Amino acid sequence: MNPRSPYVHRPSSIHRLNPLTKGVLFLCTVVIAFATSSLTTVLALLGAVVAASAAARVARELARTVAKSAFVIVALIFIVQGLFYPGSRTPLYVVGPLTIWQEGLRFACFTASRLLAIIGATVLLMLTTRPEDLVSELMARGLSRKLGFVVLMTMQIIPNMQARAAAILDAQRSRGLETEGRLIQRFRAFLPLMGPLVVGSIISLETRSLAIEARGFSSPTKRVRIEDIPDTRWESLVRWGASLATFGFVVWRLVRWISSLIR
Amino acid sequence: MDIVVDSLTYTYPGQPGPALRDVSLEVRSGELCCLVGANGAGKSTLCCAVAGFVPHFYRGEMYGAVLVGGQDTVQSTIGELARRVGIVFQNPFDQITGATLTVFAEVAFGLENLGTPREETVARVEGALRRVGLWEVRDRSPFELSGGQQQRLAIASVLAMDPPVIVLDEATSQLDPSGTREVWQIVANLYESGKTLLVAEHKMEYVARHATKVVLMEGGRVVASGPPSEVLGRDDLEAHGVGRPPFMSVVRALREKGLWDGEVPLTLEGAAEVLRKVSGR
Repeated sequence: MNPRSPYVHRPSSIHRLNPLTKGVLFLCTVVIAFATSSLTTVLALLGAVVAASAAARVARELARTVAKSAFVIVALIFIVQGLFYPGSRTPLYVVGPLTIWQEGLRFACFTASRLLAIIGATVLLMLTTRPEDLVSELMARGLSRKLGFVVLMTMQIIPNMQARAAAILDAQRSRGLETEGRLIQRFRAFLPLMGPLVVGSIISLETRSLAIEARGFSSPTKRVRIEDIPDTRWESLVRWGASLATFGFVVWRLVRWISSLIR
Repeated sequence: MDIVVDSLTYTYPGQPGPALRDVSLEVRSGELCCLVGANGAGKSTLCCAVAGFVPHFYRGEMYGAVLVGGQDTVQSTIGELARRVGIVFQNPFDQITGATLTVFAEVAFGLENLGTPREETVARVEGALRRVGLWEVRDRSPFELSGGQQQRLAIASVLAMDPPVIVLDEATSQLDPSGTREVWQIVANLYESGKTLLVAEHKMEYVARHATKVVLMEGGRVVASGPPSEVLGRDDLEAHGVGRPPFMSVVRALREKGLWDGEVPLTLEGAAEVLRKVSGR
């Protein structure tokens, strides 16, 4: 495991699921969260994510990561929608010149829950699934080698560049570069960081692609994995079931939407 | 498997001048040939040409030919060449694929790509890991290894594919002394087992000790090639940007003063022997 990936290893049945199953369930959650307009559905999704995280024994990590990434935006949603939701008619509280509307809060609840369900599902997938496993499983099922690698490299590029930037900053600081203080000072420190960072990253990527080529990456032969990731019929059933249900749900929503237009 | 480079001239795309100028070179099967020279002399480009990355990966303009085992690299694809030539680069970290979770899987990556049957892959990975002394850490993450271990991992990844030719492009330049020693122990071991080796290296004491042939390069040209005693014994070696091992300089100084009239040894132990004889002990 890449030490910089957020994956947390715990002995749980969720961790042991085939990565493809988790990927499919994640996609279904996101699609339904986008397609639905009912608060109950979104809350049910959120509940499912929380329950799954508890089963995977990563509830605490999930809560921490989601809180960190979504706190500000959820607070903003409540403030803005609660105060300014268009078409609000039922005042709930009046604080000085500001009125908090019931319709606004309801809408804020729905939007925030939808957002939390999507972020939660994403974080849960990352906490319980190693990207290498997911990509390897996808490649074994026909995803092209090149595309698989693009996915993996993209996921690694941010942490890799962060580590590189930290090293360059340390090096520049040790040579007396001022990196703290006023804005203009910080901006001046930015330039000597960017050059080596970008050039270094390109060189590093070039070496990596050469190294991969040297290991037969472009070989026309079919890839044979040393180990298959375990998969069961039951899981395959869950994947198909969830995909069909999600598809059905989206179709049902579309039909309702179109018929409401016709009327 | 032998390597023949025949009047190779190569220019990287977008570069004003060629990186290699009329380079000819022959490395016989089972030889350990070291490329020496200052930075920018063309050592890395030559290594890439033998592995086929020049011109397949970099494109650019190439004249002349590179033959590995009699086959022209231009006629082969990189995928085919991977079976014949293994290459190890400078930066240990950058050679980790990032697609695998354990040291074992990292070494298996190449064989998986070649479509090797499972049982064979497992056996060959074990052999390669034992050979570089990483069998004990096979379940660790490649990113958790030290620089020296990562470089040995890169070598093992290439070894598992069992190519007859192995190229090391300054593979020790980012390693500490013990990492360098470990890598060279493996190189010596590979030489014993009959691999053809092409090694670009700055650390001259290892070149002197292990090479069967040394090629001195400067400005994209081959300045001299021959046995190590001949090339490292040249009076103009430093002028070409290559530092002689200190112990060789000591013996040469003794010879200039007329205190020693024998051979200049290629190892530290040999030099110590000379000093013992000269000082009469």
